[in-house]
Amino acid sequence: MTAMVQVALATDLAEAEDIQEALKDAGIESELEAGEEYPLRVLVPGDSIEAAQDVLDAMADLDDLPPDA
Amino acid sequence: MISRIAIVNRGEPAVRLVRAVREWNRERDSDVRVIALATAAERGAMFVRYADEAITIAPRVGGEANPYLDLAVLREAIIAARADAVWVGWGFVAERPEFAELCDELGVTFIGPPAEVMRKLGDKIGSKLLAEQAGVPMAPWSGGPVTTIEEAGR
Repeated sequence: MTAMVQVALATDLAEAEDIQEALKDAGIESELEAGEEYPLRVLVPGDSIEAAQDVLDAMADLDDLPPDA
Repeated sequence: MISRIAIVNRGEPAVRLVRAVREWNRERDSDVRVIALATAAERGAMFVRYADEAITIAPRVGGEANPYLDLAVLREAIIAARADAVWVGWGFVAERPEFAELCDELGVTFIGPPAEVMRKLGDKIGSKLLAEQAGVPMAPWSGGPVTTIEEAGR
């Protein structure tokens, strides 16, 4: 497994879990870490970063954003 | 007609605005765009991804440590965003009448109460007096500021 790298920042746990859920649906594992300048960092394996970015881009294109985001 | 809304906030308030604007656009077949104001560190935040565009803000020398509170920084960002309206959500400058006045000065619609209303309602005693004048039922109170413990006990 490659080192974990940051793919997104989340304001709170609800937003972070929405992101994690979308990543999980795409088969990408993720971890949360407390951030310094922002509450939470979402981390994914380095070799999954591009796929994870695609998942997040797809999330942002949804007409209905996650309710708790 | 509003076409470009700058968000002077982040996180949930920002996402709520994006969702509302998308719904508005869908229902009216319009194309109102949302511009996030974000620090460099926030570039990976979801509210920035959700927004149509983003403008980077940063603390300036001698200014507020938090750029979301610095009117000079916000002035530049709103101009750079070519916004015709501003949404502040809650927190940060949402209750600062000076910011609403800045928007007026820039010819940008402040989506919120006028500065004068903020000033009147920002003072608890003043707002109670206003409520009384408007005939709003009130719990019994001193009718003004209390300066001593004895007065407060009455």
